[in-house]
Amino acid sequence: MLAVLSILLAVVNGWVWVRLAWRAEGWRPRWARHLVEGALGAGGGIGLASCVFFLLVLVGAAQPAVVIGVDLALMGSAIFLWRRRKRVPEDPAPGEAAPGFRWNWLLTLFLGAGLLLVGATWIQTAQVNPYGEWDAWSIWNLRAKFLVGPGGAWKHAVSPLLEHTHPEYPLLTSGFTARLWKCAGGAPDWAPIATGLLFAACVPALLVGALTLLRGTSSGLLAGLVFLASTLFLVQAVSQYADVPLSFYYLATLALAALAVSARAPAKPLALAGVFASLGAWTKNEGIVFAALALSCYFLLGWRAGGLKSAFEKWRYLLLGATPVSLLVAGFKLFLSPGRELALHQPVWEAVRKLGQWDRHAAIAKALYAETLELGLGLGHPLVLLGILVVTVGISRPRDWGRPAVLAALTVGLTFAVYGGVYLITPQDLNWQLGTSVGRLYAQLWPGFLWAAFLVLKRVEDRVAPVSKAPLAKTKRREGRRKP
Amino acid sequence: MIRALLGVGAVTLLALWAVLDYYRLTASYNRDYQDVYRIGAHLERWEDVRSLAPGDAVVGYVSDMKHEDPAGAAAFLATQYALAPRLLVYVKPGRKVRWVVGAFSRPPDLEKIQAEHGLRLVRDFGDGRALFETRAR
Repeated sequence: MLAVLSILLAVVNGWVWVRLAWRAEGWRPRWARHLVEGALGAGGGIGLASCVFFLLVLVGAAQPAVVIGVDLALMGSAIFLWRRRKRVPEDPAPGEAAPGFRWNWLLTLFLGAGLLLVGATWIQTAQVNPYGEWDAWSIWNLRAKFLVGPGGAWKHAVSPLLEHTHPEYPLLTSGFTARLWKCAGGAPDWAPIATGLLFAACVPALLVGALTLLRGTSSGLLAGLVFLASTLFLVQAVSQYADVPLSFYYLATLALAALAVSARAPAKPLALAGVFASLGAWTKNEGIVFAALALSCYFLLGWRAGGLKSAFEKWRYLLLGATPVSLLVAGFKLFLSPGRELALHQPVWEAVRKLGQWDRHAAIAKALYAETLELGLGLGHPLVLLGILVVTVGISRPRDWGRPAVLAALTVGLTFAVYGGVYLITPQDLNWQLGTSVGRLYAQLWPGFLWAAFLVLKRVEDRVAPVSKAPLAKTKRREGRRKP
Repeated sequence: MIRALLGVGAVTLLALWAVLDYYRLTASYNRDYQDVYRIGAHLERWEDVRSLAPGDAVVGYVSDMKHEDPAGAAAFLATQYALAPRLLVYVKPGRKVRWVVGAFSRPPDLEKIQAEHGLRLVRDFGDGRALFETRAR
């Protein structure tokens, strides 16, 4: 019961803080705004709760009463700030005036049916495989058990004796599962399952909601449908790994940076984007790379568009938002788990030598190609679906791509390139590493890729007769007939 | 306009078809493979050892299975998960632990293992599992 309350408190806490930071009352349609706020709130709340729990573990105060007490204090301070906030004009509503696509109701129906089916499949899989896949019980949930253990057992989670796991991995998902287990007073199977499913649900919610706000309802719904066809991602969603949570934080960073462009007061949404980027860094090592690249790309694009001063003006909010959790990650890496990164376990010359080995390049290209095919099933493959949309709906001209699209494409592309570079120099057996990780890396980047793709795809509303024009046309015709 | 409508229609139908396919394949997989790594069984299997060693202990591990073999790695990691929050480590020269668990794929020669690693048998569970204590030197 206390564990369920602790999930609810984490989610509601996140929601309250997101509402405080992002003044979105003016955005339309309302359902999309609620979807975005809900998804950001749940993911942000889980991240915040994980950080707080880890700090409580460090100071030896991770007791259920303290956990709940801190939650209530955080919520109280958010409500206090909410009541004292300045009345600023609401953000404009970019989608409000845009006429809709007349078949959106049908897209909604199909998307809803698909989501129900996917949800049922996830629940069924979680029931028959409650401990998740290999890394779930050998890494993530194992370390959650250490964090929730008695006395100094938490140190086992970062112990150099933990030879066959990864003591250097950040602890967001393990920390949140540990928090639930601490509040439950045991280690019920449902805690990591619920954590994984929450993140898995937040990804399509954020993708559909944010694209609807920025590009119109049909873009959001179509992105949701293409997401549903992304079998590789759907499989990862119930593995209890940290890759789906990481993909959520990637997407949240990109979405908030995009929403900030249309916000009248962009400082807070940008700071929130920074928070989500840093939560990605607290989720997995790859998140550190993504956060660094996202911040760098944002700064460089701002510099190119409006000069150094203007770029720094906005970038500092992103940096400010990212700072607190980044400090936690830095402290973890420097003091609790120093120098254990796998890529460092070899001489520099060895790594450089590998860069020139073309058989390694070929093996990586082959694995990436094979995994690209595994993204979906047959004709329902998500890249086939995107291809159909490119051909039939079209792509905007590159000069019309907004900064959010360029930021997303650049950040996702560069992160992918870094992943490829790590494969090149890995001290592990390359084929083993490719075989056990490429799918997960695709899952991490896939929602961000879809985000970028739907930002550059043309809007269906612009290609077909919008719903609002039809009644208008009929009225005009009727008026015309009445004339003598 | 027609082209865009056809495209959206095709994407919608193909996406739903993909979801149905995903459901069908997953349901079939779930029928054949349940708790593939038998973690539930491991949790039950090591319950009695959990009640013997303190929760924050570092526990040694001896086995006739090598970690390099997938079955050996799976046995070690599943035992590690079942015994957590105790930390499981392979017994090595110079590594000091009080409690040591043994997991064996074949009936073990317990006398030999005790002599080899300086251990004293606390309990032989008789199903390829044993608990040892390090002999005071």
